[in-house]
Amino acid sequence: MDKLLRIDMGADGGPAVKEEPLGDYAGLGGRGLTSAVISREVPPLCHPLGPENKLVIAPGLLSGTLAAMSGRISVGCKSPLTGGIKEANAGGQPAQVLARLGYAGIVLEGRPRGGEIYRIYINRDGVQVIQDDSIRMLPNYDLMDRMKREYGEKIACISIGPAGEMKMCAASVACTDMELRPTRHAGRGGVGAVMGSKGVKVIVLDDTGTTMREARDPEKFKDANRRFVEGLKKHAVTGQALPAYGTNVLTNILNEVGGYPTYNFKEGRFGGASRISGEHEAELEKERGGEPTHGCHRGCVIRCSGIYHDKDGHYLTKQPEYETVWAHGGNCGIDDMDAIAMLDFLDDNYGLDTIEMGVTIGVAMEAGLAEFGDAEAAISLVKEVGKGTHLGRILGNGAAFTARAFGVERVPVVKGQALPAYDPRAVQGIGVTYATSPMGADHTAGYAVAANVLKVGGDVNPLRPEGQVELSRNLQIATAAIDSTGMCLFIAFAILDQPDTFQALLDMLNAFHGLDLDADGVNDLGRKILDMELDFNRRAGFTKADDRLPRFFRTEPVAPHNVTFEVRDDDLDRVFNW
Amino acid sequence: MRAMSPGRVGQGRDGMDGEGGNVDTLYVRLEMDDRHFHSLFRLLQGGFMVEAETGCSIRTFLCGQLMLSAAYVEERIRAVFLDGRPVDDIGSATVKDGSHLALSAAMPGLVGVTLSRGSMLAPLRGSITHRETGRAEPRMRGTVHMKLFNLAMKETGRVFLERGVYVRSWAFAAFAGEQSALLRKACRRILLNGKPAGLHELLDAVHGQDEGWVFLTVSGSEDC
Repeated sequence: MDKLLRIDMGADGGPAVKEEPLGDYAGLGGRGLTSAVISREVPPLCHPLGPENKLVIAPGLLSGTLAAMSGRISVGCKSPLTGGIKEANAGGQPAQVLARLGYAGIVLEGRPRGGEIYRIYINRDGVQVIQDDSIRMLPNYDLMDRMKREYGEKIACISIGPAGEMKMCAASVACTDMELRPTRHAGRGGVGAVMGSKGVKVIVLDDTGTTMREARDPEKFKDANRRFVEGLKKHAVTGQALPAYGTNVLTNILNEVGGYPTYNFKEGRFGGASRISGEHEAELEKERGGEPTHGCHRGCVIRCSGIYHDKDGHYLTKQPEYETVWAHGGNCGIDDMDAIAMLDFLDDNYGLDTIEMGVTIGVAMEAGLAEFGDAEAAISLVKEVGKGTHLGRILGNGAAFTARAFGVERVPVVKGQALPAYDPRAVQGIGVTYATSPMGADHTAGYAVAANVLKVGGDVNPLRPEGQVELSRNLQIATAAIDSTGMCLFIAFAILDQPDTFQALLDMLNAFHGLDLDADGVNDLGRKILDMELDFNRRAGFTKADDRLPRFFRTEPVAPHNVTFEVRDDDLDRVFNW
Repeated sequence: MRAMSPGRVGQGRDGMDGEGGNVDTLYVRLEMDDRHFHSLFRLLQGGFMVEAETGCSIRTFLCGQLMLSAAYVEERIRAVFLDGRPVDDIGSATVKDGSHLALSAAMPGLVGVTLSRGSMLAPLRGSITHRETGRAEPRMRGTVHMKLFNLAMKETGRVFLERGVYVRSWAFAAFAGEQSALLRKACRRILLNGKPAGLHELLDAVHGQDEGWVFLTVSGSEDC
């Protein structure tokens, strides 16, 4: 994994492939690599869909090894949704396969001059870039059927659906899971639209004949991995809660505390929550012959995903995750799990971010395009997006665009990106991260809760009111670092509570790469990544005024606790003061 | 990780687990095939009511009244919500007559960790955290509305159902309607107000009083 694959899609005479050593990018993986390339090589004022933008796809530092949970892949670019830097990541198989093929990253550059569409095939013998109009506008599932027929089942794919080809701002980049289904998505920020602008429909990865990446110190690496897996398995969240119920285990809890955004963020509780909870979902899956405990990539020991069957016992989609169930469910007043699963399938098939689409449908309902709670209408609206009708083109460009088109005032976005499933009036600290993250409203920006282990930014006094700002800063630093490892963010729960598990992760990185990384080094890496991202956004024209939640969070109290967002602007402006 | 035993849940109020019946409450006893007992747990996430002595701390309520083991509560009940507010100290937060109390095991996500009791991330949800008023509450027999979530539901659901819980008739009717095939397969015996009844009779009865309550007790056996 010591080379970068650059493909200039706009080169004279057709796409030009070039392999080069990592150079200054050595030692970076995942988000670290994507943000470094974008901040250094992309003009911040360029049009996101133009030839100057680049799409960077990077596995993590431990991807392609025997390390458990190392299957995340990062996709970075200048975002067409936010106008700023973007990193979205996904699980699935491609990270492992791409890393075993020896690539630290793929950089798609330029733009085809005639709107051609390509598939890219990469195996150990090299790279083929093949023009293929026959796959134009194929939905992701149909596309995978074609790729399987052509290349067999021992491949992994990175693709876009029709939404990406139509360059919609809600378009995702799909990654295939262990069953070669396009179910894992780098969803946020319209990364699929940028892939579409490059004319790349699918990247087929075939690691036949390759081997696992070798550690510098195999014995130490093996031992650290064993301790790491033990730590994950013994922790109540990674060893039990996530395998049993998946991420949707959060529905009941968020609803209980009044932090479950309902009816386009008008209320904090949803009456139908128990009908779409993780507990209900898991039972339904078991009853229908699906599976509530399933990994999204080989080497996953948490297995928080699952398989969702319809009423007749046939595969419908993967287990919809908490954010999806909320966005298409409670946020739209829908308590029909089958309808939500169908919406999840449609999003995956068209290649759409489920959070952005769910929030967009909520805005559309507020605009009167459908009634809250009308599941059939929601399904119809998403189908409009897939078909690319005029209405669909509006919806497919996200919540902010849809709100402008229909004159809706309550628009839950930051930097143009839809808020995830936690009301920042109830859980104010996450509002700090929503407001200030360089990625736009992003729940994973402050997900890696390792602050007590890392002591980043010093010890936080939880009794001080400014503790929320300090915590948000620490969490964003820690997350940026973990996003570079290629590790699933869910490992964060075990390393929060178990310092020995965090040490095992450091030991794995050190043994594999021959490093001497400690907690301070992780801290430095996280800050370095955030500095690059913040610098890009500043050069793209972002100011402090962009680090704000929508006004209604300050003026409209949310039931049941009737709270508003009260963190002061000058406190928000201190988040990145270091 | 081995699941801890949640302990023994105390018995219901004298006479309230009986079979007499009144205009507002239907008394339903199900004898279930053990293999399907867990299917009823889902009912408990939507809310139920128990009777017990109130005016005590959450810890006393759970361990002294409901007889959950102290070790179980300490280690496995990682998030507690009183009237919709996350609780940090279950030794000082007071359960009153009419309180709403929800229990959860450890949860994922930044917010999952934030909502856990005693979390170092508690400042992130400071505006909704439960704070005691300092007023002494009288010790009295009262009712507490409860919800069980996730592994807390899975691990304590059985003891609550064996003890008996009050469930809204409409909620029980909806659940029983959805799960009628399972109940038909897994119920060895149904007692409605103390008398043997069929599933249709039970459904008719609960549909007939949507605004009332069902006092549900469940027993399990292996030889169904």
